[in-house]
Amino acid sequence: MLKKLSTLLGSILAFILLTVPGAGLAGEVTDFVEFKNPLAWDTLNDLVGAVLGMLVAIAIPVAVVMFLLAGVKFIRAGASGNSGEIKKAKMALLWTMVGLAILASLSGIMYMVNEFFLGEKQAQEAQIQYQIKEPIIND
Amino acid sequence: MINALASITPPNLNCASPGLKAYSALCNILGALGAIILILKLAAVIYFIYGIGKYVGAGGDTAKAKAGRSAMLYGVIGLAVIFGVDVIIAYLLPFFGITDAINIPFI
Repeated sequence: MLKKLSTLLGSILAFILLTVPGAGLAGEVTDFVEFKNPLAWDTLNDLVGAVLGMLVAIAIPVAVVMFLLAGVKFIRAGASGNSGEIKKAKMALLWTMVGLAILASLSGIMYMVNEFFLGEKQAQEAQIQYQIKEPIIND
Repeated sequence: MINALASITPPNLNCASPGLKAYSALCNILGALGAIILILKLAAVIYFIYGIGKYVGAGGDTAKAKAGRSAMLYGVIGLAVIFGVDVIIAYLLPFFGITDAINIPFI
């Protein structure tokens, strides 16, 4: 019990020392350490948008290739006349369409998440812009 | 021939458009896929015609006619799916803010 209490008090003290400016120091803080953002994106929203943009650039060609493969599977199944292969081709097409639907609703999903956490007004402002910026590292 | 195939991009994709400029990698990949899509389209059409020939050439043989019918039926389904790829690309891109890059005359 005592140990728990001392841990709690210690952590509260550490929190105050770390968060309240100048709490642990005698004089005023004059020498700030400037932290420069090493990324090309300023907000979390921009970063997520950039990552999503890269993923989308991969996902769209993959979706197209899977769609083509589904068509090829249909033709090959028809050539063999095997009902099991026809079923496989149907399944390939079905799940490709499911993937396409998820891909198409990506911005909607992001909007829903933003709306839940930030509220409607900010979600509309923060609507994800899929964009691929050059990942320039600021010096 | 290969150069001509490589220069084909699916549904009149305009890589120079402002919407697609940010997606230069995407446009290059889709451009490279354009040749494969064209080859698959030709193959699907040829296969469908081959299925018709198989069905017609079966004569009175029921088993052969069944095989020809299957080849024809799934040939035309596969043909529809493969030709549908253009529509898939045209359908997907506007969801990502690329509206000016696609130019399909019949949509």
